[in-house]
Amino acid sequence: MMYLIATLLCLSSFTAFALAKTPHYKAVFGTRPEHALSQRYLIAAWIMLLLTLVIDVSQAIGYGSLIFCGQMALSVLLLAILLSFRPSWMRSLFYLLPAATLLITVSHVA
Amino acid sequence: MPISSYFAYFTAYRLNVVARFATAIVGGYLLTALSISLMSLLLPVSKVDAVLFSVCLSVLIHCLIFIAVFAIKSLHLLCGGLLLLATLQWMLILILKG
Amino acid sequence: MKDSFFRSMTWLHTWVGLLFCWLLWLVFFAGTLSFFRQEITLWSKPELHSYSSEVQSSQQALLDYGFERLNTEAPDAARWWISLPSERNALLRVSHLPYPEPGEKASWINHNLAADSKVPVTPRESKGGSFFYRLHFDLHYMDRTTARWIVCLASLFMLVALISGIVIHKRIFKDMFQFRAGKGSRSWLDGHNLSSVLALPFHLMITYTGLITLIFTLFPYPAQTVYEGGVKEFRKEFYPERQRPELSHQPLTSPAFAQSIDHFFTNWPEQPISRIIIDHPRDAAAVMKIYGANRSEIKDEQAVWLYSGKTGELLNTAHLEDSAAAKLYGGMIAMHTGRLASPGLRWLYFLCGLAGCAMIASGCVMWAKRLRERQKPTQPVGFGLKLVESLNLAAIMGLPLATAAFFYANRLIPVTNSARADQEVLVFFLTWAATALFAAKWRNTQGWRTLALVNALAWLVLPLCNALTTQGSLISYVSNGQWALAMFDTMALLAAAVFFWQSKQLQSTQQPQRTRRERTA
Repeated sequence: MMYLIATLLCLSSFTAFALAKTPHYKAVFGTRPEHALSQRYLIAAWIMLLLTLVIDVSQAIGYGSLIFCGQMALSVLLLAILLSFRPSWMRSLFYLLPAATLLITVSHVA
Repeated sequence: MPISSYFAYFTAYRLNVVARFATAIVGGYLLTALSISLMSLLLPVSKVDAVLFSVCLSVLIHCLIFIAVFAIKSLHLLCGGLLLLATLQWMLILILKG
Repeated sequence: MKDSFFRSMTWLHTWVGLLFCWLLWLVFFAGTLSFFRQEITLWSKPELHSYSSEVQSSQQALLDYGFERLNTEAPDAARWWISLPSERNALLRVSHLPYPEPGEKASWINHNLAADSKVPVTPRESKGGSFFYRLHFDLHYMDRTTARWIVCLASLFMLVALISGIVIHKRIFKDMFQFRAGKGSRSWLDGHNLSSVLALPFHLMITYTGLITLIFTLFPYPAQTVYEGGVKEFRKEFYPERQRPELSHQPLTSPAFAQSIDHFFTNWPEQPISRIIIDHPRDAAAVMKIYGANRSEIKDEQAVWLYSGKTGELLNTAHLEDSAAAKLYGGMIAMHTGRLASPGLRWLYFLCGLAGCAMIASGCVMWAKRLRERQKPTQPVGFGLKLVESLNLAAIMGLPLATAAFFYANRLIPVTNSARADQEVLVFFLTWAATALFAAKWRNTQGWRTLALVNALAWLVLPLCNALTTQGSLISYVSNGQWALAMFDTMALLAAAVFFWQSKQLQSTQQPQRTRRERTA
């Protein structure tokens, strides 16, 4: 279950990485991002990525880091497919990812 | 550029490439074999552990040598360096094994 | 040489990658399939499909049954072997190896039994997933040692290509989400970058650890330097469980196997057993080896307890408490095989493996395209380029087709045929050879499209063929919760979809190319 949360977090992180890049941001929102905004995305992305690693490793050190590599691969693949074929769908990720993470966290705690 | 000198350059270039590949694969293999054998003698752990550690590092060493062979420009420096390293390590192994 | 380090690295990346790309494609493809070795084997033996892995009997009860059976059936065997059912294998296996006749080699006699009812199950003869597992480092029709050396060399080249690739393409991290479809060689470059970057840690890990699995073939020297007896003596110390005791030629009248098992269960109550092997069960020198099942530790070697058959006392243990070096070595091998993985991680492994296949395939194709672009339109096509293009087509499209053919052969060759396992393998290689012949003749876009369509069709019909020749189908698998089988069929359908999409893409890229050629003509 924790691994699932970590996967969603990893996906969010790479979404932020993608949006920090001007061409992708433009493809998704149609406007150019300000420099400060890109910076903020980048920082958020790194924080979330580190958090993912922490969650994975806290479950099991070796096994967790293997999972972490896999999660990164999965996230990049999904995002690359989305950005190449349906960039506008990226906008819905803004609501879907936090909602899903929240839902799973709540159901995990409950 | 006259066609003959172009041809000469091309042959020299090809020879150089073939030589480097041979050095990287065969030379790299021998040097790696020597360095990990030396390492397994020098490591201050039990015999089994020394062998395991050194074989685990072998691939890394071979890879580094492989890349170094292509990165170092002068062929003389390269061959000299490899030969010197190999001889040194070989002698050390002989001394250590008595 | 070249002017700069970066240029020499670019050069190295291209040539090192190319020399072995077709072999590496085979190794990666078969290796990726072998992450699901057990599941593929299960699929290829429909006789086992009806047994669920939820076993009611306790391990103790199963062992008792196994010993009883061996005692009556083969009291004078050289070795006994009892494999207990696990999550990925539902059957209890009771086997024995007779003493060989002089000048002959004895072979194991296996009995597969349903764990609860003890009804014997005889699955059809098939290599299943093990075929792909063996193929990815032993190749086939070839001496094992030679094959392993070749695979080692190819892996080393792969590692060099990966490292030099990282050095030259620092940009790849910059545009890592970019994939521009339908843009000719630009798309192939994007695909190459994407598939290498997205699983880069995996590619490095799997190549490095792959070499480590064969390392004693490659570098026996440290063991030879440290040990007088070389690798053999090293193995003796590192794997005490693999040694066979010498026969004492004194009969063992009352073996103490039961006491040993009791001792094991009282001292390690949490540890499940995966199998028990007994050497010389009727000799005073008998040794019983209890292999513990690994759980989520990153290690492949199972912990082993060695008990004396005569007195029942614990003689030795192996791989129970690993030293740092053993952990490093064992960890690397475990990371490579992925046997430790739970289904979730196994799928991630599979995904990364597919990314590796895509990386190699796109690299091959890109190279051929570059070669062709560099040629003047008036220049006749050289033999080298022809060869490269044919090999690309034969390898990249032929291997999945041959794999599909292997699965068809598994379902369609009569169960009663003798040596049918070898016939399946023969079908695999014949299909591949046929594709290669096809590729030698038609290696243009039309050829690619045709083979992509044939592949799509083959993979699409495979679940149908399965439904017609066995009791189950995708629907029944889902409703019965047989997920391994259901995923196999789903993957076949997915593969069909991907090949179909590819044939469409090829059709759309064909158009502009043709106009360009007309313009130059």
